[in-house]
Amino acid sequence: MAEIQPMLTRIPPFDATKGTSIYFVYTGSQQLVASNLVIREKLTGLIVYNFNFVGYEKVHHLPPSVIQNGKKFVAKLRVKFADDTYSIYSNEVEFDAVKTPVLDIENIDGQGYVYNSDVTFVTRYSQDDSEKVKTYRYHLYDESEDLLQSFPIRIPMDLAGIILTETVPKLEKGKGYFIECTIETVKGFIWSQREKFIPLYMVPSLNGVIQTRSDEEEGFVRITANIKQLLGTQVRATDESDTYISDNYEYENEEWVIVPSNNPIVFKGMSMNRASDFVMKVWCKNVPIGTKFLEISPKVGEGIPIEFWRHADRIVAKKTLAGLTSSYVSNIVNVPLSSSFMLYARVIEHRIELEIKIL
Amino acid sequence: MIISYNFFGFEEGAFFDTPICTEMLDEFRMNKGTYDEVYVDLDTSIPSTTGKPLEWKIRTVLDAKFTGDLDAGSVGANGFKVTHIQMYRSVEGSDKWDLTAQFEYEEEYNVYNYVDRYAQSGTTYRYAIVPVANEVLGDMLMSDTVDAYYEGIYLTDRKENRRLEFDIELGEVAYNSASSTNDPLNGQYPIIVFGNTNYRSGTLSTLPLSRSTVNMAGAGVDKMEEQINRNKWIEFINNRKAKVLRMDNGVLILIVTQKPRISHKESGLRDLASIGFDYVEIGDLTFDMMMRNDLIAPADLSKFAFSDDGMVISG
Repeated sequence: MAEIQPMLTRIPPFDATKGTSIYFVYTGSQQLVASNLVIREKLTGLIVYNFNFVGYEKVHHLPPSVIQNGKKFVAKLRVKFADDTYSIYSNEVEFDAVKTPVLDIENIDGQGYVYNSDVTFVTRYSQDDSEKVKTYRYHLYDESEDLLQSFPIRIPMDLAGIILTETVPKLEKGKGYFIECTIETVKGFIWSQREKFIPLYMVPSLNGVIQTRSDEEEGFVRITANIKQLLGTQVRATDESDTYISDNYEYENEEWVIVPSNNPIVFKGMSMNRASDFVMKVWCKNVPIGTKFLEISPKVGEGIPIEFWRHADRIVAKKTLAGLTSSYVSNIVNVPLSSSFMLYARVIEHRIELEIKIL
Repeated sequence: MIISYNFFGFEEGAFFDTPICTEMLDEFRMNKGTYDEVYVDLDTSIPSTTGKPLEWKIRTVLDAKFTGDLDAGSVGANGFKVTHIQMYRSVEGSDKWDLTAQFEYEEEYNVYNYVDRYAQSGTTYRYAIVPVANEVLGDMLMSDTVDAYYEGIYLTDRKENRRLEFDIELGEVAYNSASSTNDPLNGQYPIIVFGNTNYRSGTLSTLPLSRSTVNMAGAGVDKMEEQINRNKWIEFINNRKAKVLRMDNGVLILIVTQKPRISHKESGLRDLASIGFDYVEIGDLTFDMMMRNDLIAPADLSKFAFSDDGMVISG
């Protein structure tokens, strides 16, 4: 009777510090009681592992840390029968033991946020045995880890394969996602890293007015959007080159702006044109007593400004023309320096009605 | 004596009413203090309640919330520079927003007029605009719903919109798809193979009438005007560009027109001629497809200002 040879299947590269399971095929008629695996280093021929693993199943579990990472090995196997005899040795299979690589997705910050809608993910790869990345691929999953999108298989741009990048477009603000980077090394080691993130970014927002009307004559829909951008600027820029965003102000709880005495804010381009009647509401506090705290004026040097002065118990609006002063006073109410109040001003036909409301 | 007023008006407010006219107000200056919100509106019916304004209205001049920035207009950019405005359209009842147009944002202008030339009759739409800054999309601002409704059949492109008015013949519409029947020598039944093509084509004809002929109300025909009008039609049909065919029954297809022909009426009415042409559907009406076919018009930019009464005037 011809002896049946056990067959070892391919052993993919694995991390020796974790061990692996080595599968084999044996089709002989005799019951096997154990498998004897012999591993030798390919370079030196030294036998590093020789052990009988007792079990009826056709698998040999290699315990952790019996062989060393970073080397090539050759394994062969024979099966042991109930009568203490062995089969002949199987085919020899070469395999690599490599340390588990480390994949670190760098864009996701400590809290798990990214700050844009289109994000180029950068994964840094490192591996102790200087094993190189052959290909990599990104997958995007939704909150419940269902696959949303698989990106194409890519070859690292730098030959060392340390930086692995992919641009993921159109992420929705505030939604949870998982990004996974899967790599295959030159030796065939497959490893992946999955991380959760939430895109969080400040967006421009609109607050304008959009009107639509159907034009039956032409069969069109006509849309009018009224939008304007009005940005405050500081009157005296602290830095001459700081022209674009001259926002050096301090904010309190992202709700209050603190205007220091040497850096007033001016909003230009209100373009109220010839409209003289308006309503103004200002919510404020900490306005020094006896100062002109607000001023509404035409473009610099072109006409008469309306000045608002704060006194201990009232607010006075003043307009001056050629030595003639027109003043309007609010209700009399004592407002302590630190308490917040709302000033309501209604201007109708150049007459100003003022009202203070303590909040 | 009137308490709290004195003759000189210093710090107190004068007893005499001497209003000094102020106009062309343009700047709002804030000196030392801590500010929560600043709001200016031309609607003088706003009461003196301490509630903060909820939304931007057409006569709002300024609304600065100071939530970490100095934005005070209706576009809050959060430090981003807004470069484009995108317009989306949605059929009421669905949550799907389709990109309809995109135009550049220019700070100088505050009115963006856009004409949606490709609305489907009998549909209720909702439009929205979104500011775009460096590839970051902003939040949507939605309009109220609008019912698009029109009568007749229109042929529209970016520049022209022609209505088919008289003697319209719709002809037959073919749904083209390719298939071939192969008779195998060894079998009883044939093998049918279908191709991927699936488009509509058909013919249309109409009698265009010039305005002056219409104005004569049947009393005569303006020969010259008819000829000029006809030439314009032929030029339009023959311009080799994509067009959109819109019908009041809801048909909306992206087409090209081919083979225009003129057939004159008999003897006495020989100055009148109907125009016929073939059309072929060339694609879906998506933003991408319309953009490539030069069907998206830019927005018409203008400025609005306020009149003496605080009403909006555009110019």
